[in-house]
Amino acid sequence: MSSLEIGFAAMGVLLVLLALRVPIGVVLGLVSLGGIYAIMGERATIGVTRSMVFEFVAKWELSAIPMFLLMGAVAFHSGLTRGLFDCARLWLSRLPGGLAVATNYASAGFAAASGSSLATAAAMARLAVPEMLRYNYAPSLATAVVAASGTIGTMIPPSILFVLYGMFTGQSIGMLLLAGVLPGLLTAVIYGVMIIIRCKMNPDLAPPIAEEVTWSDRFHALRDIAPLPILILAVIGSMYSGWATATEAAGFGAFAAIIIATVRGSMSRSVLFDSILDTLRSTGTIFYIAIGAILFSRFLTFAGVPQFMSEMADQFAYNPLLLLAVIGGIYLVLGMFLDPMGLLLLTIPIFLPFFEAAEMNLIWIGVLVVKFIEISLITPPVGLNAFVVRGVIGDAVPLGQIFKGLIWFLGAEVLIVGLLVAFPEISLAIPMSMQN
Amino acid sequence: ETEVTYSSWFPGSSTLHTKVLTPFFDRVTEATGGEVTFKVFTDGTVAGGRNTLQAIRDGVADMGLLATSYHPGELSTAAWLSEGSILVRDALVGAGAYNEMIFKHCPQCLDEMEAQGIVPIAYHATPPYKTMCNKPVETAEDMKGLRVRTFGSWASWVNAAGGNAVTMTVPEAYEGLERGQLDCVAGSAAWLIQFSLFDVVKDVSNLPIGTFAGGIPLNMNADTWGDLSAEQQTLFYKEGIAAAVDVAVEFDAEDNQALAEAGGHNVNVIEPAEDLKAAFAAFAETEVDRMKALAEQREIANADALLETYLGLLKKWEGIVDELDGDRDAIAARIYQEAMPVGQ
Amino acid sequence: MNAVKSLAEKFLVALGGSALLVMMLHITAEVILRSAFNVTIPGTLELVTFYYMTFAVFAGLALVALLNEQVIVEIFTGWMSRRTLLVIDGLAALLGAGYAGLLVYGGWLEAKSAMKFNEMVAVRGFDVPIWPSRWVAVIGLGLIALASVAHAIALLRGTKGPRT
Ligand code: NA
Ligand code: NA
Repeated sequence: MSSLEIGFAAMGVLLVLLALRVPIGVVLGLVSLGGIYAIMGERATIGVTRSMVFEFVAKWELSAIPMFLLMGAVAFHSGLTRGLFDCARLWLSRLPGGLAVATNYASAGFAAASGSSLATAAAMARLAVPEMLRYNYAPSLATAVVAASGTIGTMIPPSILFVLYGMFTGQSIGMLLLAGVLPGLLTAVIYGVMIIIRCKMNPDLAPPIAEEVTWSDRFHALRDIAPLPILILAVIGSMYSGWATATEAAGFGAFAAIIIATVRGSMSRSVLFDSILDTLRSTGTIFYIAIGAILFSRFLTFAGVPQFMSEMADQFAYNPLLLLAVIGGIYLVLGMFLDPMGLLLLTIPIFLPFFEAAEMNLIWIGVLVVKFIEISLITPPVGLNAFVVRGVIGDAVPLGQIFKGLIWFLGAEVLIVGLLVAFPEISLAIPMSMQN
Repeated sequence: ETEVTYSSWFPGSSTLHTKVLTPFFDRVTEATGGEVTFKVFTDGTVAGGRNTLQAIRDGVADMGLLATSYHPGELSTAAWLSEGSILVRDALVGAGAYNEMIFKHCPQCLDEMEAQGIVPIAYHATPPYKTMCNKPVETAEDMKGLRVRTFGSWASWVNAAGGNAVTMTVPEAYEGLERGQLDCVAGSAAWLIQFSLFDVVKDVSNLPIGTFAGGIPLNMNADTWGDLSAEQQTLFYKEGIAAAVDVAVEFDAEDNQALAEAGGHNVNVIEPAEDLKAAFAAFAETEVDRMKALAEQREIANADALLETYLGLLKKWEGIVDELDGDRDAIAARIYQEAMPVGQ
Repeated sequence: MNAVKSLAEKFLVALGGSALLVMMLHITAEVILRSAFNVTIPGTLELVTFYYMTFAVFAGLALVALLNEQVIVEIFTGWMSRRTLLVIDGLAALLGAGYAGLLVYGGWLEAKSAMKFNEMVAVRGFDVPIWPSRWVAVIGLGLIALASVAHAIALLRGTKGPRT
């Protein structure tokens, strides 16, 4: 077998092992080591195990991952994000589908403290779904809005996926984080408009709420979430103002979260312990896959797969739109069963040569790739965000209902992706404004 | 037939590859009549700057881009000699003196490489670093309070001049200059182009502040080396030295091109005022003491004698480079004749 | 068995948790001192890279293995019987142990070599030894291997249920 054949055969073995419930990180790592052994022999394989794992972990830029996770965990466990839904509800409940709209924007707010979509969906499911069901909202809408708006968690900074994408493509992590701001807000706005129109046309979905809300209630609720903008300022502001690099902003953000919690009187030993435990577990989960992925991309390099791919990319006189469509389709299919991180890390070394050959802006591509991955979180059969919602609320709403409700959000995503493709400025305006 | 793999963490589009290494590989392949071919992995796809040593040692790659300064533990003597960058006038002098030092006057340096199972073929030096800033730096006073991304002996200079040396990765330094965590980056003027620093730099201080000597762009896993014939090994040394000289000449040309283009990017090239030059000269005088203190800290054997030899070689090669008027082929031939472990 | 597990868990949380907090404080101090007082702390980047990150990540990896929380794909095996799933998960855990075992072996070789050569990184004014971190990696990976073996035994003997 030629190296290239070994490379493609290994991808087959990889898919089989994944289907047989072997953890993704283990599959990536073992298949890669096996492939490297087949191509280069024992000595080189041992060499790879000697230095590559440590080299990958010991990386300054990647410190943003545990630090962003710690910030989100502290914000959550200290109750900083708890008031978000209440506040959004008081301000927006008069709108058609008001609670769903409120959930949507509360998720966008939560996204500013959380680096992951799954964490955002889990937190909002706990707060918002029971409330919407209590007001007789259609279960498919109540659950789907949480699953869908949870995906904003990765688009709006902080974002673990953008840190990893930057690391694996050599793009500026700071620019990537800022590039997600407008696409994240755009997603929230389009979701919001879609919910309002739908509920206006079909009021049965979301019966109007006869709740007397005073302006004083509204402003009171606003005060409850006032520290959140401080946290946003600590992260985005410290980067934008030149106080901190993108990497440092993560550590600074975690510190700011702890200070805010302490000042609010909601810091305790158990909050700190729970936050640390959460952070370590998420960090471990992420690095388990990422270490496998780095071995996998080394293996693909030895097998000559990226070179082969870029020759292919050079050969057909493609059109970038077609390329994007094909790659979007591949993400949809792989996203049926892979988790977001595995999906990102598995595909980037393979797709990167195509993007580079097409001379596409890799910051803009980063936004699109993250968008595709987020969409895969809400598509059946494996839509992790739908699973998370279902896991949190229990048997009250069947999975089929959640996916049925998500069809509308997928429709909105078609429009959002169209806009992001047609107007790269949506992604690039903020990062570009930082230059000079 | 031997296929030799080379692992580099430099971009494939960099001058090091297009103007130095690719021609080297082609020359060797041609001279061996296709007996020795190369497979090159660039952009750190096999190993980064820090673990290229391990990759070559373990046979993950046969050759690779090594820098002594990343390995003050493993390559302690050579890494320590590299610290003396401020003592080195220019890249050609550095290439001559450093190669002669290692191959002819520093058996412990060769032992250190042997302990890693790696054969050194040729060492290189870069042209002097410049200070690239987002504000004008002309006088000694201007250096005060400046935040400069740098390391090693350049960091000592920055601190001695009243500035503040900051450690960052190069991509971070770009953002640092852009947003003000940094005032300056000390490095090759070519970085203005290579790392797009032209976008974020406004002024370049044209004061040369010392070269980096001690890159090992050409080296080989000892087992792979052992499989080569004696003639092939000699060829590697000969072409290797030509490549080390190419680094000096091509990097210098790239630096000059960057400085020449500066105006077009609205970047000012500022000549240093007399007091800044004097401050740097006064600092350079103290460098030998710093080297000695560092040697003590790192327990380098024979340090005083080695340093004295190295200083002598730097003088000697300043004379040779001046005498040969920077002629690429003549200098390569001279280094091969005076410094290399073969051919006499 | 459970006592060992709980002890290992405490150890990992303490090790990783202190690394997280010290990393946060060190980075914050660097940001504030540099921005407000134009002072930089020598070695921030190196300590974050070679100490805090390695301690936090390898502790996290071992913790995830201990709690058996690695991400798996369940979609293709939903129809299988509990008995079959136990065997499949047991074998998967053995593969995980084998993988961790390979990494332990490599990491151990490298840690020995790094210690022998006093692997370090030069910081302005002082040198920071790196080799101790390499042993932390070996310990973390070793715990993964042990935990995976324990999971495999429990699954294959049927003393615990398949992953859900
Ligand atoms: Na976020
Ligand atoms: Na999906």
